[in-house]
Amino acid sequence: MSPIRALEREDLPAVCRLYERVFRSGTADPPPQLLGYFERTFIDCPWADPSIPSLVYEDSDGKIVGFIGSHARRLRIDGRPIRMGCSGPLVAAPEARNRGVGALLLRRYLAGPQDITITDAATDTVRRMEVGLGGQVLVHASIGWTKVFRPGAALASWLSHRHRWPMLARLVGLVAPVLDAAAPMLDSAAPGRLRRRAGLVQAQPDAQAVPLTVDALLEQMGNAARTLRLHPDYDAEYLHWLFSELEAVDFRGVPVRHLVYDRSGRVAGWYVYYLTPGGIAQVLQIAAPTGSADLVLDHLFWHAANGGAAAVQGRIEPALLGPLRSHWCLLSRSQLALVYTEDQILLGLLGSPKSLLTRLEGEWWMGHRLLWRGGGHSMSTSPRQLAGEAWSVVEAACRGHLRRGRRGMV
Amino acid sequence: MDADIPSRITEMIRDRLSVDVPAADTDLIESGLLDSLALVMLIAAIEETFACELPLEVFDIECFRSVERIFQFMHSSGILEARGS
Repeated sequence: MSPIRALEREDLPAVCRLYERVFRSGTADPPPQLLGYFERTFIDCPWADPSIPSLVYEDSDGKIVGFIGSHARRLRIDGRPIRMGCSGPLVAAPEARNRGVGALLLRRYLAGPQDITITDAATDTVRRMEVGLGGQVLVHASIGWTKVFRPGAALASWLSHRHRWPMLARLVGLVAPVLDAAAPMLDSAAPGRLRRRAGLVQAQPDAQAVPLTVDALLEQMGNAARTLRLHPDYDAEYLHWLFSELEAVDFRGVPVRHLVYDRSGRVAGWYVYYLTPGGIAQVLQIAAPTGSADLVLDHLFWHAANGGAAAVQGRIEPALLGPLRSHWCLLSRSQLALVYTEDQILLGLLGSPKSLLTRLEGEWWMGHRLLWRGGGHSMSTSPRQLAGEAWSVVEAACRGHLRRGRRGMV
Repeated sequence: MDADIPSRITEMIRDRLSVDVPAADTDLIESGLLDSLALVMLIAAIEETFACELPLEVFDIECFRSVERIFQFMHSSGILEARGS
């Protein structure tokens, strides 16, 4: 009998204990909420697909010693529905690692019926395994970009997340306000044309936005399908689940979803990101199917900067490369994104501006590892509290703009 | 034919994993030559080299403990016969 089988609901307590021990506190005592989170994300997701299940590895005593999570996603390629498996996390009990548990789980998962498998938060070990099994690094999606608004705060935030130089992080944190207060002066020294998009201070965009609702995203994705060859095949039930789960991962900040209009009232595109006042905001999806990505970025950066973010980060998507250049974003290494598919057309499309496959379709943003660590937020002040304060600033800044624009827009 | 297979496996491990196996009965796991990552590379290499799909539904790492055991596993699972080796 195979030691590998599909995850069942009854396995979740054992899986959570294993995960807590290997990836979280090191104890086998997970917080009670973790079980519910695993249940919602691996079993009860509206797109959970019994033929692309999460897998567990049982030893000869029936004890679970390995687990690979599966997030089934639905895409369309040239109008045809296809299935995607997003794998992760992959966890093996330390005492079972020399039995190849992780490698065998990954191998079995990749051999599933899905048309394509991705992971967007791979460790180097997983990369080597998956490449050994025929997968490859999705190069553009493994490169990150950063737009900095407050260099001091951004550097302090970056250092504090590295946990390597705590003294330096504290020191930079102390001088950051002074450095950031001087930033507008540096900005004003730059020529006007350069300052518009390259600068630290974000100008009022020539665009307006409304909240991106489920219905609006469904409508926009339907329109985008006319120009995109590869895109998510969202439905209302899934999007309600997705938006609710974005809210649950509160340590990342406040999820913001905006539909952006140009001056003439035409839809320019949309964005979804986590606003983290005082920290580095993280982009999950930027879409501009009609080619107005510059305008969408203008609005995103203005919104994030006015919301108190020190910087915004995202990953390179093929359609964004040009606009990110014109906004003078810095490039750096990011989480490794991997892909496994035997469909060469699909593989080729992943690197094309005609595809929309973003972090929103992956598992990078999820909270399995960091939610409920230490009984609360990973930050001393909740990003949500900070966002509440920052938001009043945005609202004040927008008031004049609102009077000129359409009702409800920011 | 079959007699050549162990030496082909040894060569394959050297070429694909950069591991020199001293003898066909060397314990690859005990000696630390084969870890989880190397195992998956080895499985992929065997499948590619011998144009087969290993029946890993009943996988037992004991089958990969040495070149000899790998050969026995391939033999007992009918892979070599199916290839006409």
